[in-house]
This record gives sequence, structure tokens and C-alpha cells, in this order.
Amino acid sequence: MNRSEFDQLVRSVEKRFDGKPAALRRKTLFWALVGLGLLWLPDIMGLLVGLGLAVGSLFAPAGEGWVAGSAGAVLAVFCGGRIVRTLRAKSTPPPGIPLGPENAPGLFALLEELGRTTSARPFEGVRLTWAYNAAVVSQPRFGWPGWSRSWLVIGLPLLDSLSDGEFRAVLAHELAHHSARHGRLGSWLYRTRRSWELVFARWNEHGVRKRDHRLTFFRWFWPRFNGHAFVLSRTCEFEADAFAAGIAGAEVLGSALHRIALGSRRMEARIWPAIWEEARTHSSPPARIFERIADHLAEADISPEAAFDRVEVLRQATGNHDTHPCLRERLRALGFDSDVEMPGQTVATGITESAAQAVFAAGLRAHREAVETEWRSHIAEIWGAQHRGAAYREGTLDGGENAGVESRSAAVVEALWDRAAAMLALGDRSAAESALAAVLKARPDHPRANLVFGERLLQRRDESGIARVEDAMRADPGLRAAGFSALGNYYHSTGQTGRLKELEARLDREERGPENGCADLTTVASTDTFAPVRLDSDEQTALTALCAGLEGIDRVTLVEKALPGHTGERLFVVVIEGARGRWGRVNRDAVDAATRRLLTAIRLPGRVFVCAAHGAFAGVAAKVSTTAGAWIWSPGMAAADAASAPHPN
Amino acid sequence: MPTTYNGIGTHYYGRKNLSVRPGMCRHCRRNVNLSSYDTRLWFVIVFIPVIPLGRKRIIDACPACTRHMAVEADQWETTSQLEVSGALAKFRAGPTPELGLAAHAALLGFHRFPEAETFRTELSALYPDSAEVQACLGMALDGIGQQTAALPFFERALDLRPEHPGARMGVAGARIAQGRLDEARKLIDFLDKPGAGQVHPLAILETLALAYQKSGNHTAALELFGRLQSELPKIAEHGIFRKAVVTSEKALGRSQSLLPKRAFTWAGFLGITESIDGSHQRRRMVSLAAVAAVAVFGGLCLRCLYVGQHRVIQVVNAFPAEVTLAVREIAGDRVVIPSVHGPPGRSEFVVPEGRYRIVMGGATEDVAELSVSSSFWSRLGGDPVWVLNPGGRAILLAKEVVYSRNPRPGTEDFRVGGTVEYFERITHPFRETPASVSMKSSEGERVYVQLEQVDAELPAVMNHLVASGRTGEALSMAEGWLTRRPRDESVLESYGALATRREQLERARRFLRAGLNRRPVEVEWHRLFQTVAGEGSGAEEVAALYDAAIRAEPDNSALQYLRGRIERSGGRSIPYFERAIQLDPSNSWPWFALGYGHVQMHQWKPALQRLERAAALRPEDGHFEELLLQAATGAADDGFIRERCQRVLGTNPVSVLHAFTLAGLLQRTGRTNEAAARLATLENELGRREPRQAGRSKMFVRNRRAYIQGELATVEKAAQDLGEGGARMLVLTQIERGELARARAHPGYGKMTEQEPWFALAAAVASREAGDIGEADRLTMAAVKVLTGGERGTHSALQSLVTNEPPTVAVVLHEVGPLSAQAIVFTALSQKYPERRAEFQTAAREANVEPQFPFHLIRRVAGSAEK
Repeated sequence: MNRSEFDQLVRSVEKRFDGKPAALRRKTLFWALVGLGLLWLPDIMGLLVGLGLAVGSLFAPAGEGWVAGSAGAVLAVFCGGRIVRTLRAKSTPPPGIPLGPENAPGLFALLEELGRTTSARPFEGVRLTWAYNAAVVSQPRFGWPGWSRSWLVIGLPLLDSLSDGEFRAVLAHELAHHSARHGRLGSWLYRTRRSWELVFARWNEHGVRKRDHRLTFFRWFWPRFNGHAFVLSRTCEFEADAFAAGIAGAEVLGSALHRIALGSRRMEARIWPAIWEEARTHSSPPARIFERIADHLAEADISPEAAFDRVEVLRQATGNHDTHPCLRERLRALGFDSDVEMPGQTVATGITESAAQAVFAAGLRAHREAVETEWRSHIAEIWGAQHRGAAYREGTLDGGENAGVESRSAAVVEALWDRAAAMLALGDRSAAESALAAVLKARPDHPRANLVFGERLLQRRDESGIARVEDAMRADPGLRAAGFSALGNYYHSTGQTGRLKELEARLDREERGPENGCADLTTVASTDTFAPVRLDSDEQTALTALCAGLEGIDRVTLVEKALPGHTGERLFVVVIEGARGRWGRVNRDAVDAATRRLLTAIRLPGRVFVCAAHGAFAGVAAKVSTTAGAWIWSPGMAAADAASAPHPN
Repeated sequence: MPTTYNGIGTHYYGRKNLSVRPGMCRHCRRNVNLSSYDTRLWFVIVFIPVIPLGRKRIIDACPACTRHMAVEADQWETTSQLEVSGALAKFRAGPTPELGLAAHAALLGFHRFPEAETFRTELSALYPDSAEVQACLGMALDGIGQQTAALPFFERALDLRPEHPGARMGVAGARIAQGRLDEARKLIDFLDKPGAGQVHPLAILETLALAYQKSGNHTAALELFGRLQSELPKIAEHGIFRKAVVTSEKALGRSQSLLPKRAFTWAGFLGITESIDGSHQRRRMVSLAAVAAVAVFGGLCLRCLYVGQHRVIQVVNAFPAEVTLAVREIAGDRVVIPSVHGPPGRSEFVVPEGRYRIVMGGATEDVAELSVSSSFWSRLGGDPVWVLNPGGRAILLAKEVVYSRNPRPGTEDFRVGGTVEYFERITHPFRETPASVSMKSSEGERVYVQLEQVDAELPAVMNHLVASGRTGEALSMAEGWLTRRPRDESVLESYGALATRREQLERARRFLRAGLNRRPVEVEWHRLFQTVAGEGSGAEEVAALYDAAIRAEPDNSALQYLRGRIERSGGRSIPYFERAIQLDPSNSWPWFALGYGHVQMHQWKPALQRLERAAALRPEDGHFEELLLQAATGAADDGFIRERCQRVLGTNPVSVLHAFTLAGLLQRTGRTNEAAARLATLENELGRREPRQAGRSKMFVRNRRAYIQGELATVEKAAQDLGEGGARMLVLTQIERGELARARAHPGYGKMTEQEPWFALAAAVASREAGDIGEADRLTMAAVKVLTGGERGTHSALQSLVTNEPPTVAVVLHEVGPLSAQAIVFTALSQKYPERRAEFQTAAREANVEPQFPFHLIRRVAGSAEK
């Protein structure tokens, strides 16, 4: 199932279960149980059979059944081990600074108050982290079907960016997820979906044979389960929003959601990159990073990118990448008109007192230091590697900036590109852009320079970047994945849903291999649709001359395969029919020689498939020979006649 | 990969479009000539292609390990053409170095090597000043194992851009291969700077380090290993890397290692946590195998413990009534099982291994010690069986059943008399073995051992053993049985007969002699002793023995009787019998002895009186009753016979003796229907009581009825229907019917005339009656020779059959004991001495009271008593 089909499935599930959350839960549960049952069925059967044999052999007459018993014991251990391995869950607390009533009384007073209101189960613990997020992290005690332990994880930067009231609304939202409102079933389904994702990731990591039955099963099962779990997760989000709005007020919650959306972008796009750029000059992270982050977040973002962000967060549409609905839909569900009265119109002004100050009061400094210490130990190795890499790159940069820029020598262009790449890696934007400009001046079609430059343009919301990225993808097939990613990020950020869908459809077509039966560009079959070929006169002349040089050939037929959806791609099919001898037999040697000749010498503007009229591709040849308007060459035709003969088209 | 087993499986046949290239096999890592070609996969039988399974493209088949990749040839052809032509078309439409390199990669990827070479040349010429293109072409060739072809491209790239990392690494790789390590190191000195690992791949550093190590320059190798470790700290966890470092450190004798210590964790040791170098997979496999082995070992231990705690004791109760068992542990005198009921037949109970005292009650009072033990591991495969045989009454047979193409006879192990029996290996305890088993071709034979309770009396088992040539075993078995049950008359009788027949008299004498001093005197035991010990010169010794015994116990009635019965003269024995009666009037034996003497002399009335007394004192003895009825028949006391038979049959309707005697009486008095009804009743009763034997008892009764009624043709037919089992009956009947030629033609006839002198004499009578005087004389001579050689007191009477001195009737009566023998002798004498025929025939008719062979022959020759 490709992205488009999955989108369609999600839409149909949403439509079918609109206003029927209980039915949706039941259906999702059904699919989850189907998945678990089918996945575990062989092991459970093996375990039961093994135990049966092992226990049964104990009661067998003396001297009998011990071979079967031993085999049963081995089988039981093997299958039991597989089940235990599946059930085995490392229930380790999430990273972060443990918080308790003794060191965060304000927070726990708030939690207690909200807990009473929401009837939420108490958390296993509360952790304060460096991430810009707040979440309930559940971990299974006994694997997928077992009970879970939940922690509340709060990011210090999030607390720094929200007001006290907004944080209260966010906390109410998270507690709603943890309360009886969503129940354990919802949590279990969420965990199950996450576990399936991990299984899939592991298979991708270790590789699974294409004919592995598990892969077949997963391809069938996963979209069906995920489609329902996806919709269920979104339903849960809306329910949690509604609940939180009831406690904190829709306006406050809407403001919090808007501020989080903007803060998240600000953190990812500007604050963290700025911090990591310092790895170029500092062997370890500078001090008081989180104070700086808090200061940044407390201030209004006046950067040009922030202006884009404010518009785009409200344009973003819900995709199939995230289980959370988009901000626009969440705000609309809270009763705001997306175009007129968005609650976040004031979020750009910053806050006077942050939630961190409110809930931690005097303890904030200590918490901030503790978070920073943990963050530093967490990133120390990566930071060091980045620093060493930057130092190495700087060491390799010669002093001559854009030397030889006037030269179009390939070696010079390559040296310029290497310099630009080093600058990019070092985060020296201005120098990098200067180097890129030099590369593109020397070689305007440089694919990697075009890609990077296109990305830069798109970050500035300059749509001319799209053409550059497309050029890069065309000029270097190895850059297609990066190009798709750049375009996808742009369309997603700017909320261009339609173009994003088109891009995904393109990606679907390219990703689908022959095993999916849709490899239009890599297969030729008698079931294909063939069309008359469109060649210019030069091409026809060259082809006729080429055919005239073939010996023992009775006829050469050329058609073009119809390739719907593949813009700019052409696929030609050439069928060679050998001349028949005195006894009606085809001279196969001559046909083979002609095939080899055409394969190496034919020049057509696209993919070419050459086959003989007999043999394995006889079906294709028969279909080609009946195609109306096919280009035909035969030795009886004079070369000049063949060139000037009226074309069927 | 195609595989065949014994010529059956899948196989490639044919080879087209072959291309060969030098390269490294990706499976065995050898540098070989890899070949790619089109072929066809076949299903083969005896390597003959039978079913085509499709055309395949074999890719990079290694001649060393034969491994390869295989794809559908059509799919390969299509994809190859389309991908290559597509890449080339794109390059032609807008030539860029990147599209050129992509087209080159497509050509190499689809093994279009000649075209790739041409294209490479074109591309290189098209971008002569592009170090990137040259280096990438070199790397593409290096990637498919063509290092030599790659080198010029790397060198050209290096000329164009001396700082190009790819070119420098490419040339350095070639220098390493050439052994020019220092040159290589100089080329890749840019990797020898901090942070290089963040920008470039460092694999070439490891290659160089290993090359240094191989050349013996461990200092340089360690420097490079150190660089690698500082750039990629995690590499220190890699097993192969650590091994390489340790090798160089050892070579340099360094005590300080640059490797960090590995923290030991059980999870890592067991392969639960994943390791960088993948060694966890092997560890995990070993751990899993160990867990499986422990599980199997644990299971086997559990199994042994369970078996040791649940030993099944088989109880075979041959008594008709229930036996109760109480099981106590000897050590500690702990009651393990207070009471177990052992119903008639087979039952079982379960005890842990140990030593037990088993107290039996009910049908028998006995105490036995049972030791149940086995070694721990023998419990897995052993098949021991412990059997409790209350009273030792049951006969157990452990029989080997051999399965083979030509099975050898299995051994038989009879166990009799023991209360507790242990069998080391019984695969089928009281279960049937299968009629046939499936065996592996390598298996020569398979042996099961079946334990069963023999459904027969001991004499029958003894006969079976004797027939198998195991006389000694049969005698031992009887001796074992008689040691516990000295009064078992049937076994005593069989034992005596066997010892006599097999000339084991000395053995029997010794065995029986040991039991003579038991008191009270076991008369049957003594009688048998007297029989086996009194032969020939032993008679005086036996007489002296009993004389001594009487002196010691003058008032012992039994000893008086026994002393009397070994007197050669009937007249001298009578005082002993009378003295015995005087000492103990309830002693039946002297009464019987006196009665027997009167019967022998055809003095029916006194015989009847004494035998009636004897039978009253010892009603269970069939011999007494039989002789009593013979005496009554001889006395023609029909009323006595009728009254006695009806009385006995009233309480025991299956008394064969009384039923046949009564039927014989009824037949004799013309009440044929009543006789038939009587025997029909017997037949029904026997069938009802022993349903499993109904067929046999029915046949037996019908044959006896036919014999009694003189329907010898019916008996002969029944004997013929029985086949081998009816051979003897057939010969006897044919003799009685006078069909001598047919009788003589029978294979068993000769043996019977040699071993059974009374039969031989009867056959002689029949032969003479038929006019075959020569055969009659021959048989008479043979019979007399045997009979006069062993039988006491029969010499003169029997000798007269071969001389011309006729005996008196009284002599015959004195010398020949059994009435049936008397009847034969008198009949033979009547034929020998026609002048005294009437006298001898009268005596013969008087003695011919027992309706069994040669009853009808005597009647035919000597006439019937009724006449």
C-alpha cells in the first residue's frame, strides 16, 4: 500500500467512524489482536506441542518416549524463548531529571489538582528533560500485552516558552491521555502501534528476505492496523484537547498549542542550529546553554523566518507522518475560526513570566543546571566529533577563496565544490553561499550545488529553489532522495498540501519495484499498451540506416510503450523478425546478431528494449506486431523510401 | 541453488551468453574468475531433465564454492536493457559527469563489461580534466574487484587534483597491494589528522595497519590502530580489531594496551545484547544451544526422578480369590501402602524405588521381600519389570520376539514358583507384541521382550520345554515348583514320568530322597521316589530304607503302606496294608492298595468295598474314583454306578469321569438317547464354564461320545479334521477299525510301536486278527522285549506271548496290573493259544471295562461282556 492509498484508507476510516470512537477502538483492537495472534500463532502452537510432548513423556512407560520428550523440551524452549523475547521489555525510566514533591512542589501541587479533576492514574515518575516537548511515556512491564508504567516527561525549554496558564492546559491535555477517559486500551493500542513500527524498523535494519512470509504478512497487516490506529490516535488528541479546554479554557489551550508549534519550529530551525554551530569553535558546549534558550524563548522572535512560521503553522495540513492532527484542525475543533480569530495572534509578543518560573520558583536555577549537566553528558561525544570534524575541515581549507573562479576547468569546479561543502558542514552560511555561487557560475548545472542552493532558496520561501532542486535530481539520479526530501519539507512547512500529495505520488511511482507489479519503467509485457512511435526525421534516418546494416532480417518493428504518470520518460520496444529460409525456418543466429547490434548501436530518446519475434518474448512481439501505426522497416524498402515514406501518424 | 539427492532434484543444463570476469567471490572471498550465463533450471530424475522450471541468469558463479546468484533470465534481460538504455539515453540527452557515471554504473551492474569499458573510455575522454570522474570510475572498478584496471583512473585523478581524497585513497590501496606501504601511508596522511574520521571513511587506514602488521612493522601498525581508535572509539569493542591490536602489542612485547578494558556483562557473554562485530550471534546460538541442552538434561533428570518414584509392580494372582497386599518399607518400617487388592488375574500398584516387605493375605498367607532399585540413568532406557506372584502360583514367561528378515528363534525364560520376580528387560509387559514392525535398512534385527502369564498347568509347560529339547530346564522348573508345593500330584507325576523317560532317574532320586524326611509323610512324594529309586538293584536299597524308617516310626501308618507297596509279592504286602489301616483307619492309601489288588484279580465285590472306603477318605483323588467305577463296572453294579455318578454330577456337572461312565452305562443298557442327552449336558456345562475353551470341550465330548457309542468312523473323521494334532487319535482309531494299512502308512506309527509297548501289543492283536501274522509276531516280540525289560512281575505272563507255554489266567492277573493291559494280554493270548481261547477271551472281556483304546478292538476280537 503506497502513501496515496494509505491516505485514502485513513480518510475512509475517518469517515466511517466519525462520531463513533468506541467502534473505532473496537475495530483497532480487532486488528491489533489479529496481528499479535498471527505473529505469535506458530510460537504458541510450537510451545503447546513441545510442552505436551515433554510432559506426556514423563507419564510414558519406562524407557519410552524420552526421545519425543527431549524433542518437545527443545521445541518448548525454542518457542518459549521466542515468546519471552517478544514479551521481554526493558522498562527503564525515560531520561531526564527526576522530579518529586520535595524538589518541585509547585508542579506536583498542579499535578495533584489536575489529577483530581481528570481521575488520572498516578505517574510512575516525572522527568524534566532538555527536549521541547511534554509527553506521557508508557513502557510495558511484560511486553505488548502486559501492563504499563507511565512517566510524565516535561521539557524545560517548553516550560520556558509557555505561560503558567498555558502549561496548565498542556498538562491537562497529557493527563487526559493518561486518565480513564482514554483508558488502558487506548494506551495499549498506542504502544502496540509503536511496537509494530519498531519491528518494521528492525526488519529494515537487519534485512528481511523478499519472500519472507513475515514481510508478506506485515505488508498486508500493517496498513490496515495503522490506518485505524492513526485515526484513533487523532481522535484521542481531539478528546484530550476538548478536556484540557474544559479545564484551562479554549483560549489558553489554543494559545499554548500555537506557541508550542512556533516554539518547536524556532528551536529546530534557529536555536539548536545556532548552538551546534558553536561546536566549530568550542571543544565542549558553552556554559549556561539552557539559560540562553530560556532567554531566547522569553523574547519575541523577530527573525524573518519567524514571520514565515507564524503564517505557515496555521497552513500546515494533517499528513500521514504524525499521529497528531495539524494545528489548524485542532484550533478549529476548539472553536476558533482559522482565518479570523486565531488565539496565537499574541504569541509573538513573548511572555512576562514563564511556566518554569511559576512551577519551580526558587528551584528553577538548580533544575536548569541539572538539565544542562545531563544534556552535556548526553551530547558530549557527538559534540566532540563535530568539533574535531570542523577543525579538520578548517585545516583543509586553503586560504584562496574562490580561486580560479573564472576557470571552467572541471578540476577547479570540483575544488570549489569541495570548499563549498566544507563551508556548509562548518555552518559558515555566508562563506558557503559565496562558494556555491562560485561553483554555479563555473558550472551552472552542478547537481549538488543546485540542490543545496535550491534548499537555501526554499528555506527563504523562494520558489525558484524548486526548479534548482528538480534540475539537481534530473542531473544526478543519486540526489533524488535528497531532492524529494527537500521538496517535501518545503511543501509540508508551507502547508502546500496539494503539491505535497503530488510529490508523494511521484515518490510512490519511483519506489514501487517489480515485486509490486507496477514497475512500468523496468518491465515489458504483452499486457502493456503500445502506441505508435513519435520520432523526428533525424532519428528515423539514423534508425533506418542502422536497420539497413542488419543481415538476415525480414522486418524490424518499433513501438512505444504507454507510460501514464511518468512525465518525461519514454520506453521503446523493438522487435526483430528473422528472414525465413527455404524450409520456413528462421535464421536465429542472424536475429541474435541483429539484436546485439541494435542493443549497442540504437540511439533513441528513452529506454529501449530489443527482442526477437520468437523465443521468450514472442508474446510481446505478437502484441507489438498488431499495434496500429508501428514503425516498420523491412529489407524490401529502399532506405530513401523508408525515410520518406508517409508515417502512419 | 539447485540440489539433487540420489540424482533426483533440480539441476542447471545449458550455458549461453557466457561472460567471465576476474573478481572476488562475495561468498567465499576468493579471487577467482566469476562467470555469468543464461541457463535453464530442470527438475531431474537420475540427472535426466524431466520438467523445465524456467530460464535463469546465473550471476557471478564462483568456480571454487559454486555459489552464485540466479534471477529469471527474461526479467534480467528486460531490466538490463531498459535500465542501461535509460541511463545511456539520459546521458546522451544532457551529458553531465554524474549521468555518465550513473550510466557506467548501470553497465557494470548488469555485467555489460565490454560496453562498460567502451563507455568508460568515452567518458574519461569526455571529461579528461575531471578528477571526480576519473576517481569515480576507478572506484567503480575497484568495487567489482578490478583493482588493476582501476589504478590508471586513480592515478589520473591524482595527477589532476593531488589533494583529491578518493584518488589518494585509491592509489594508496594499490600501493598497499604492491607492498609499498610507506608510499601508501604518505598518500593517506590526510587521514592521520584529528577529525578525519568525521569527513572520510577510514577503512584504508585499517587495511594499511593490517598490511604493516603482516610485514612485521608492528610499530606502524599500532600507530594506525591508535588513530583508528581515537577517531572511532567504538571500534575498540570490535573483536577482530582487538585481536589485531593484541597481536601487534604482543609482537612488540608491550605490557600496556591501547585497548580499553571490556566490561563483562552476562548479557554480553550470553549474546543477549548485540555486539558491534556480530559476535553476539554466535554467542546467542551457543547460549540457546546451552539452554536447550540444559532443558533436555533437566527434562531427562526429571524423567529419571519421576520413573524412580513411580515404579509399577505387576501383581499376577493365579488364585481364584482375591489377594490383599500390605506394603511396608523395610528401612524405617514405614507403611507405604496399607492395603492393595489383588483380584484374580493381573493388577498393579506403584511404589517408589526401595526395599519393601509385602504381607499377603486372602487367598494365600505369605510374606515376601521386594527390592526395587535401578541406577539413575538406566531409568531412561531400561525396561525392568518387577512381578509379585502371590503363592508363586502363576507361571510367567519372558519371551523374546525377534523381528528380522530371517528371524532367529527368540529365547524363553519361564519363571515358576517365586513370589517376587525381576525381569531386567521387558518391552511388552502383559501386552501383545506387534505382528510386524517397520525397521531401518541398517537395522539387522529388533528384539522385543514380552512378559505373559502362561495359561497352562506346569506339566504342559514342562512338555513344551521337553519338546524344545530343554529337558534339564523342565526338570529344574518342576523341582523348583515341588520344593514349594511337594503335594502337587500332577507335577509330581509329570516329573516322575519325565525323569523316567529321559533317563534322569538318578537326578530324580536325589531330589526326591531329600524330601523323604518331611513329616507328615507326603505319600505321593514317597510313591514317586519308590518308583524312580526302586528300579533294578535299587529295590533292595529302597526296601532297607523303609524298613529303617518303620523301625524308627513303627506306628506311622503311611510308612507301613509305603513299605507294603514296594513288596514284589502281592501277598507279602497285604500285612503292611492291614497294619497301616490298623494304625490309621483314615489313611486312604492302604484301602486303595487293597482295592487295587482285588481289581487286579477281578475280585470286584471286595475291591468295590475297599475302594469305596478309599474314595470316601480321599474324595479329591481322581484315580481312586476312576478305579472305583472300574470295579463297579467289572462287578456290573449298574445301580451303584448310576447312583454314584448322578450324585457326583448333581454337585459337579462337569465331572467328565462320571459323565462318561454314566453315558457308557446308559449306552450299554440300550438307553442311547439318555446317554446322548447326558453328554450334551456335559458339553453345555463345559462351554458355559469355560467359554474360551467351548470349541475344544465340545469336540472332546463329541469324540468321546462317538467312541463310547462305537462310531469309530466319526472319531476317525474328527481326528483327520484336527490335522497334526489328531495324528495319534487317527492311528489308534484306524487300528481299532482294522484299517491297518492306513495306520501303518502314518509317519507316527513306527515311533508309537517302538515307544509304547501296550500300543504295539494292541496293534499286534489287530494285525493277527487281520491275518497279518508276520507283523503281529514282530510287534509282539518288540512289545514283550520292552515290557519284560522294565515291568516288575510281568515276565512269565508276557513271555508266554512269544513262547509256546500258555500261562494260567491267575498268573496273568497277578503279573499284569492295569485292567486295560490285562485285556490286551488276554486277547493276545487268546489268539496265540486257540485251544484256550474261550478262557482267555472271558478274562479279556472281564478286564475290558474301560471305554478307551483298545476297548472296541478287544470287543471285536474277544467279544463284549454283554454277550
